[in-house]
Amino acid sequence: MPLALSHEESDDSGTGLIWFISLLALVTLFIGSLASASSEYLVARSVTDFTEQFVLGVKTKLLESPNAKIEIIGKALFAEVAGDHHFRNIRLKSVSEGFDGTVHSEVCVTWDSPFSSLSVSREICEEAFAR
Amino acid sequence: MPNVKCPRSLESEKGSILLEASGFVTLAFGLLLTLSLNIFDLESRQLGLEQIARNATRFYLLHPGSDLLTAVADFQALDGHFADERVDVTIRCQPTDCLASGAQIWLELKAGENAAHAFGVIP
Repeated sequence: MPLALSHEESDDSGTGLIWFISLLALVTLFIGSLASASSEYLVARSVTDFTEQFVLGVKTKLLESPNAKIEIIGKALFAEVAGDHHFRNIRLKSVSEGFDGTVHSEVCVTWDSPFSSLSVSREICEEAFAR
Repeated sequence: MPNVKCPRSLESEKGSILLEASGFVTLAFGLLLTLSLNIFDLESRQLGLEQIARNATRFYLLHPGSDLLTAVADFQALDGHFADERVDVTIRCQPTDCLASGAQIWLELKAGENAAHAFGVIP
């Protein structure tokens, strides 16, 4: 009987550490994914807000000077307002006016994961319309 | 140095894997739940502050003669997170006359760790 007991004890030895490390890795991974997803969502929402405000601004400027070119107005306004936000690599992808006077614009930024060790980055592009 | 003798039960490294794993899982998922709730709270606060900045700016653009600070306070009162919290407001205009047609207005709100920006062009 003492032989059988010692055999059972040796079966259990070592599994605790594996459990501990596996669960710790799982929890860390889950928290990292959650925080990254939350950060990406917030940046996307901020870019949507920015694009909507920008396109409304372009439309307002266009109403003031209807003969001006929308590209010139759009780029000038973008240069003035983009620096005030803390987006990385923000750029104006397009700004145009439709036949019915609807202004359309698309703005892109680069999102970086808040965890520098993951080194994940993604392009976030949002578009908005104003008429 | 006194020779301290521990009871044999304390010196033994024998334990129950089920008990230890359950203890760790409880601790780990408790921590996970706490951190998740904190993240969602931070996210909710950030969205709330951005909503206040956006709505107050749009209200001002629709009613350029109105008081922007009052508009911020009104929208702040409607938000569950910031109703009783101090929010720092910074307003900038370019050119400096915030009522001039074509002027750009920037609104910046700060509350604790959260900050939100909004801008617009005065019609």
